[in-house]
Amino acid sequence: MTNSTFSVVRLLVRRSLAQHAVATGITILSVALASGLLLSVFAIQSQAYSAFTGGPIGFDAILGARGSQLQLVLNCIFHLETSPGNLPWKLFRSIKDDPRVSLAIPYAVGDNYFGFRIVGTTDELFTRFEYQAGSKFRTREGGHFFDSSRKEAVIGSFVAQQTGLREGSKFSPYHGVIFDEKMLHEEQYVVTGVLEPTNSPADRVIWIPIEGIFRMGGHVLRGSGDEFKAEAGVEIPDEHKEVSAVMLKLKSPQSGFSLDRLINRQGKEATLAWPIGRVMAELFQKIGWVNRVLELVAYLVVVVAAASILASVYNTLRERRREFAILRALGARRRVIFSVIVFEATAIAAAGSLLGVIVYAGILSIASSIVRAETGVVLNVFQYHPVLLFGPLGMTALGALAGLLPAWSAYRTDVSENLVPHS
Amino acid sequence: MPNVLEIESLRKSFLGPDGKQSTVLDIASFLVADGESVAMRGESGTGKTTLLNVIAGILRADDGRVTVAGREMSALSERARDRARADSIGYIFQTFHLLQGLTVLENVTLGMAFGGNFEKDRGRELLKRMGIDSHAAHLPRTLSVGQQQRVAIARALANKPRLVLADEPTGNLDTGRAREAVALIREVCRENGAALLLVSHDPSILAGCDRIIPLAEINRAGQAS
Repeated sequence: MTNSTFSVVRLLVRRSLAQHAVATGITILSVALASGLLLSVFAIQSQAYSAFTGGPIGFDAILGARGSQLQLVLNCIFHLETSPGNLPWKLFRSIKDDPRVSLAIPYAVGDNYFGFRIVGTTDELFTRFEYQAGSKFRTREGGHFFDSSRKEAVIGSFVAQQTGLREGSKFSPYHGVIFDEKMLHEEQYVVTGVLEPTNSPADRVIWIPIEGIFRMGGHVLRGSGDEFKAEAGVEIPDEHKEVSAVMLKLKSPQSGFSLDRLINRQGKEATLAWPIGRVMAELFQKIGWVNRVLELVAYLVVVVAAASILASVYNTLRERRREFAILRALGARRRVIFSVIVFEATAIAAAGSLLGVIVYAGILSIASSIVRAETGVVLNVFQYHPVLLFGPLGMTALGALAGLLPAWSAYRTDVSENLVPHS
Repeated sequence: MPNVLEIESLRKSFLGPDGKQSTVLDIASFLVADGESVAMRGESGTGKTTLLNVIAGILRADDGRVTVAGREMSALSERARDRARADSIGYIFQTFHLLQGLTVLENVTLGMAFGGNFEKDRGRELLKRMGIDSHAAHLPRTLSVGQQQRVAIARALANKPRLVLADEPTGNLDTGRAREAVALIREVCRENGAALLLVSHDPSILAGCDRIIPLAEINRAGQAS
């Protein structure tokens, strides 16, 4: 095809799209929605998998009551599930002193503030724990971590954003992990610091000293097997204390193997969720069929979009037969007519695919805010995924393919028959 | 003077609705010299359009030879006929057949692109010659019938053809304007050194051409197209 012929093809495509602007616009929109959906499904799947199986968690293992490892991880890392039960304090002490463990931080739950989980822990969470290599929790300017002997709290950035709590704010916890306005505790806590955003589930947590959980009104400790209620000003004996779980940093992967054998296979008292990434990966495997259904739906929508390109271009053929006949009479070869239709379908698909990236950004932004609100995990709209490149390219190629049938029909246009005046 | 069009033993027939072949064209010999203007008269349905389509290579003859500007159209492949049409033939249609989505200038320059000699300036020159250069950027539907016809004439001449075929080019005009239009076509063809073969059922517009030939005189086929 010569340059001048190619210019004519481009001109004809441009003008035809403009002439059928409404149909073209609707088709581009449907391609954009299909393309955006396809990109979103794959990108969300990929990012969610990465975030839940290898995001900024910081711990290697969770020690909790005998039960489901998944429940332990969801409860302690993603703050989603209820605790499967409690561990006596002596188990916390024993794992903390274990030479295979480099860091053991207690995790005690049971209260919330407007749905945001209140977790009792020790100040080691702020002084020793790194949620990512080299990154410790930091309070934003003007704040500091809590004093373990006071009713003080450090809150995640998302909690601050959603509740309006800030340094110096006072609040009273509500009993239970699900918000119920009738379950208000009498104790009042002061916010001493708001954590810098970590883009992790920790952003959705209110951290208070573990003593606060032990001493919260109405809480009963059963570490010794008997019920014990803490009294103000009186030290709580260790035998009565209990924790929901212990978050562990191990010295080596071998430590994990060893502790796994000791606790999960030989022991009957507790459960070790290790490694956390594997536990979550197993969850994703279990719900893998949902992903496949979503992928299938996305592919079907893409096929429907390609069919809409075909229908849209095909519908214009009837009124354009004479145009093609005129072009042929002026010397245009059949393949020029063929090219006009294929380029037209390709142009619609390409425009839709480009717009699809914007649709994708919109869907991911909405999905990201929902996922963040529910789990604290942040999905990144701008994170590269191969589908962002190959999706639009594939959609454009599919559009070109959809143009082949109408192009073939146009290719076969009978010139003399279509040059006969209608009147 | 050499001939731009030579027809020899041309036969063209179509399969009728009754399933029988009916011969539309049966021409023993017909010549048009370079630069000559020939008017061909014939009633509706006598095969005028079919003849022009065969000459232009849009339809293929069943038998015989059609040579345009030295190229034997009847022996060429479809691709070569397309190229020959783009290079050597200008076509003016009864209803102008302008592309409504393109501007006047784009309509005129369109045919040049297929011949491989795209010259926008020539398109503008032709529009100026036709007195419609001020409408170059307009869409055809905004023009009067007479102006549209001038665009069609300019388009037929855009690629400097050696032969212009005009099929009832005044079909939509009253007699007075039709005569003016034919005079303009003749004049512009002469200016551009193109031969003209004009067919019409209306004898009143054919005067002024170098030759006027009734189609029935050269076409032995008695069947209607």
